[in-house]
Amino acid sequence: MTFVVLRFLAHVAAAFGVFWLVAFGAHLVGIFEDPRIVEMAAWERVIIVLWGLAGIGWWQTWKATGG
Amino acid sequence: MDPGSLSRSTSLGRNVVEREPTTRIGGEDIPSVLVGAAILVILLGIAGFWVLARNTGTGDAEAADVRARFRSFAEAVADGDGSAACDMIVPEIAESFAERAALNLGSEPGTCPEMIVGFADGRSPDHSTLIRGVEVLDVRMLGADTATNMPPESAEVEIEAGVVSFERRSGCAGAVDCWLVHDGGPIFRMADPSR
Repeated sequence: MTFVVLRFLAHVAAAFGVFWLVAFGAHLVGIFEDPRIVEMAAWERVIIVLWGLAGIGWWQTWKATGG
Repeated sequence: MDPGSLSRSTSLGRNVVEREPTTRIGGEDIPSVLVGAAILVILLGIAGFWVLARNTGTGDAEAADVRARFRSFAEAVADGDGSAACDMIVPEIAESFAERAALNLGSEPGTCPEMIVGFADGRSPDHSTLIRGVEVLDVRMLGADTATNMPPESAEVEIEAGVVSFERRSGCAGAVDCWLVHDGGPIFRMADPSR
């Protein structure tokens, strides 16, 4: 797999991860209710939050290395 | 400077340029930290999609209808939209709600929609936002008979303030508006500015 494909997949994963991180934030402050979030176990919520944070981390690293 | 390099000053004040560790992919030298970050976000993305696939929130179509009905009801009460809110309540229950609400507000008896509007007028916008965004903790479907393929007759929506119960209109199934509020007590208590 060339880096172009890896980079594309990382951007896609990061975009969805950050989207769900924002959805979690909106859910916590009570302005968004999504049945998928309501039905998640605590450890599943941790995975989603880590995913969002990894997405932010990816973009920061990408920019720092001249992306 | 080459994006793959780092510059730092030594204690003697001289600048030295260090090569950042790289990984060779497809004939290109890519900074290892970038490859690591890409792999990490992709692996967490796979785990995240797996978690979302496990929690589709649509496992039970009837429960999804009740959940949607509850959300519409809470929003109508929060917005002070009396006719929309009262259309979602069993008529006899709406009448008894109106009587109790008039007593609580210390006003002249009125109709259900008037009382919903009366509640909204006495509430702060923050109070209404809490009602609009109330979290559903659980949805329980009751009275279904799988042997005769009968859909659930009633449902309970659990929120932090209590349980809101719904009943299915007879002869109606498979639609959000088949469900009527039978006991909206927790939402009415949240909406009541006198409490």
